[in-house]
Amino acid sequence: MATPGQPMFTRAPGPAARLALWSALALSLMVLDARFNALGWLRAGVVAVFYPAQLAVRAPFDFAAEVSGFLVRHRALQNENAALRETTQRAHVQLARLGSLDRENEELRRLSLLREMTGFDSVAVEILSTPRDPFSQRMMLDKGGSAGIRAGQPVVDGMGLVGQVTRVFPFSTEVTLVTDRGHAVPVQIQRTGQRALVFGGGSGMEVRYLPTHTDIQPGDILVTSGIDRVYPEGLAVAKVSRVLRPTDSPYARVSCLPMAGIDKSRVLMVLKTQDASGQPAPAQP
Amino acid sequence: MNYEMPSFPPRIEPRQEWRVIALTLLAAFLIKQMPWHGWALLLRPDFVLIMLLFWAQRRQDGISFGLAFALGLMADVQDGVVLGQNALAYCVGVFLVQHFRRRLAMFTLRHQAMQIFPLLLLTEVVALVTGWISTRTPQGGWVIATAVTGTLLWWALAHAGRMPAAREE
Repeated sequence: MATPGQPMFTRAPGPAARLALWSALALSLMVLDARFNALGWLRAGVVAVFYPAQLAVRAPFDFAAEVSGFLVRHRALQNENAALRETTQRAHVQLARLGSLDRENEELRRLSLLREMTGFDSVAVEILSTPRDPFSQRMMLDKGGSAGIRAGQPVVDGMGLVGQVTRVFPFSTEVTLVTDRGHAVPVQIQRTGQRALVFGGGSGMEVRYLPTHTDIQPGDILVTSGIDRVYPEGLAVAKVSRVLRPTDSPYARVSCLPMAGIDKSRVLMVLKTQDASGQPAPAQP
Repeated sequence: MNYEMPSFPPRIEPRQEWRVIALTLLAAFLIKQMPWHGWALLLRPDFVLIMLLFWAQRRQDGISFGLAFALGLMADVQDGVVLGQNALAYCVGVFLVQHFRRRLAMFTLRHQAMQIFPLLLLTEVVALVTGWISTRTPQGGWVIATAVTGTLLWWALAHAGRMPAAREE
């Protein structure tokens, strides 16, 4: 059946042949990207081209937030002001406590002649976009290599560890969240000091390879142990939510939930760890 | 249902037509870039894919695979997945729509939408399966949700864009 405006006998390849051609191209791209990790430059180029578009699309939302901020009623503002004041006060108290803990910590370290603790430099970043990707838990941040971010650095929010930088572009960064299935963090149970590995599990996390008799219970906090030299010691990672001790397996099944507001926080911090030479956990699936 | 072949709406002047296509695709791309989160993100249809399929059916000469491929690559980078995954899915989608175009035009829009749904599901499954082969285990079946919202979006778009169809009785 000839379409009007199209010659009936053409020498060009038919649609099925062209589809096969393009599919072959797509498959070879996928092999190059997934197996040989050879297309970083292409990805970085596309990201650089569309970075302004991403910013432009976000601008009206920021603007709308500002405008709606103006229109909030006076009463609501007063309430919020009071609430905020209270929160600041509480935060001040906490800060003072944290400060004293920090100092105490420093002293103890010096006393015990452990290695010199260095405070980490950090970069505040905002979430640029959250891709809908059914295979992994990732997001893009709005600063990149130009701000000193390197692959492998940990990303935290006010409550705990969020993830690890896996790809760095000049002006943006891709973070793999701790809930990603390919992501493992060496941790310590805060209460007992027992070391363990916590793996991402989609929406939550799980501790694997802990013997059934291990002393672990719901409510325990897991903090980074620092032995991998990627994550600094003592960052809160997860809270144990459920412990099963099956009789037919040598290992306990421990489910936990991330401490950080993985899908709530907007502003995050990238820690410029001193030794970021550690390999990023899953550089490429 | 009448079985006479509905004529395609008159061609838009070529240069004008490309401008319209480019603008609508750009709009779809930008909408996809907006900071979606929560339920909206789970239910978010793939705007670019829907727009592409719409034009593949609506435009008399269809859409080239090259354009579908390029847009797919952009989606791959945007989602941070393996390069080529969405590109392949988009090409398959465009091929299917163009293959069934004449047949689709004989149905009412409602019946067309019912046939677009499995088509969308198939393209999403193509992306899922290729992604699964090249990476790790998938995380669940949001795909069906986005295929549903995508079909609804297609239906609205087809209404607004005067998609050739049999008249509703």
